[in-house]
Amino acid sequence: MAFTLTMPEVGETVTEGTIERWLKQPGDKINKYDPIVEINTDKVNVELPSPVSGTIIELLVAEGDTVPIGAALATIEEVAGEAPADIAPPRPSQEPAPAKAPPTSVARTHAAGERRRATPRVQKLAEELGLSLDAVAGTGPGGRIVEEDVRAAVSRAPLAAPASAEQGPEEESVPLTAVRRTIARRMSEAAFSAPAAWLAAEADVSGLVRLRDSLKESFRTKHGSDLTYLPFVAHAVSRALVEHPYLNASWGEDRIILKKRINLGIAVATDHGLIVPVVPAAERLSVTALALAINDLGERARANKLRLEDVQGGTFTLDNTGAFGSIMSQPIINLGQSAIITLEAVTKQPRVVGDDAIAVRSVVALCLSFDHRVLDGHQAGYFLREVKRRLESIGPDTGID
Amino acid sequence: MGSALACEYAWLGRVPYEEAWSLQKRLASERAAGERPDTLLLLEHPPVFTTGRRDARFNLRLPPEMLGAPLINTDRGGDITFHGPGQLIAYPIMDLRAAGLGVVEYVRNLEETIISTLRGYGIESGLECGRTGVWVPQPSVSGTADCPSPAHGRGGRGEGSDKIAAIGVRVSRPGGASGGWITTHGLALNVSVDLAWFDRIVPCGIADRRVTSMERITGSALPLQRIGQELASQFGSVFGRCMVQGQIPDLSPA
Repeated sequence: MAFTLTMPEVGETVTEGTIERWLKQPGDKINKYDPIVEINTDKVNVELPSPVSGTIIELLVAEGDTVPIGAALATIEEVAGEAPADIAPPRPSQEPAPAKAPPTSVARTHAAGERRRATPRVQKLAEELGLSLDAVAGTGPGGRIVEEDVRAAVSRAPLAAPASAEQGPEEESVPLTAVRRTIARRMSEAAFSAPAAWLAAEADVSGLVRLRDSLKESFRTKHGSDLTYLPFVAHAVSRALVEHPYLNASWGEDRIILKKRINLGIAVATDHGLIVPVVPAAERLSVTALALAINDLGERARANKLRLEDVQGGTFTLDNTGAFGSIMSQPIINLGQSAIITLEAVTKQPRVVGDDAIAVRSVVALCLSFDHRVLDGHQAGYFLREVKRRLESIGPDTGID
Repeated sequence: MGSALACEYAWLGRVPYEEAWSLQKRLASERAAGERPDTLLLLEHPPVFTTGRRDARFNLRLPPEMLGAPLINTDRGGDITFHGPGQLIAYPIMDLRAAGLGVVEYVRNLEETIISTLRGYGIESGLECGRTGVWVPQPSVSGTADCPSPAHGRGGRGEGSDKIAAIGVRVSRPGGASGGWITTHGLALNVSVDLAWFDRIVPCGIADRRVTSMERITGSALPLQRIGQELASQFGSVFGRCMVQGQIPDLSPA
């Protein structure tokens, strides 16, 4: 049976393509997915795979010729029995439609009246940029409005353009950056896939505060960086994880995967977005070694100098939300992990101590989110209690090396 | 929590064109097989003229033997151009399907990457209707945003902008049925390259335009590797990738 190869759709605004080179000639045998032809469009060469197995009968378009999307390119005597493969180059994935105000009557008129005056993608872009398509002249085929028209119109539009009519005067719409989009997608995935439960505990870290105060200067002199509370918590958490493997695990649909190594992810805010570099084998490191590793990762994350292994293989995440003064938070578990803990701000509080006396103590909250598919509250509670015990046992004489 | 997908980038120094080309093919196969993440190669070439698939001999202003550098016919899109020392080359090896990107969006992202990088050095640049690449308005001419020609026309306007970066891309499926759509080739940004080389050709087949460089515009010396670092950073922002430093076996300078 003869199969006709046609020019696939390459992109929303692309209406035609040029045959650059035939990679097969009439009479040649070809396997499904073997490269058959190179087409060119907008300075991109696309090597098309054959959708079927068979023998080339005829090439219908000469090299160098430009043909519209859908034009017949070649006929192939097809080996019977298989459905042809989809060989169209990748199309932009559809982002889940954001919640938004209903379109204005103007937009609706266009959608119903002038068919395909602009593609949905271009309409969406105009909407995001707060531009009415009414104000845009189309330069695409048949007067269709293409993306460039919208962008050009926006760059020409005065600042108080129709945009303000489409959104409240007190509102401003901000186009999404790629980083924002990625974070949004992964957050939703993480938040909606794991049924997360949440626990918080308070630790009395008065001893830790005294120890850190006494070491601060010498640490700075010796290592050239600040000693914060974070490495102490990283130390306590990694040791506790050794005893509580279900917190260092992931959900595998038909099983639970316990990770033997403790690779501690540390959330870092950078100009390029949120990054979670990883301290590998954290359970083997001293407080000092953890401090240096965390400082190094943070600096390199901000300077774009991380390596692939620095951001892969995390098994548990520690987030220093206390850096912003937060005293309680509810973190979202990283994809592929079973739990995340936050270190909140250390504050001085009146607390009941000893024999019902009231004293001023340094306290901190530790907040834990865990994947309830992987473990239950009592396991999470034991883990949290162990982290708390380790932090509270730190005193002025505890060694950090 | 949840960080962006990783993209490895590496500065390779000066690499002969054909060596970098076969490296790209190898990395593209590895990418298609899922053996490596998206990868951004940063480098410069020794002097070389390259053409896309289309026969470009009519875009030479000298006979090939008088060009002073090899002329290589490549499998990328786009027309003839020059690469040489002082020009920053960026070759992304990306899986478009995994990235959720279409071919056209990919090219627009490359342009956006270049524009953001240039902005960091105080250079305002933009696109030209129907012409891939990035352009800088000539100081004497204003109002380059207008677009009288159809979006896909090749007519364009006369004077107005100089080309500072060229783009030529190839998309293929080196892994066959199992692999994704992988990009090779990429972009070339003129940093301090000797522009006299371009006089020997009609760059990108466009006769009425000139080329320019970052050094010509800013009047100051710019280290290529640092601009590569900045471009990698902007690439991460535009494509939503966490850029991590990688080593390419057998090629990365020690």
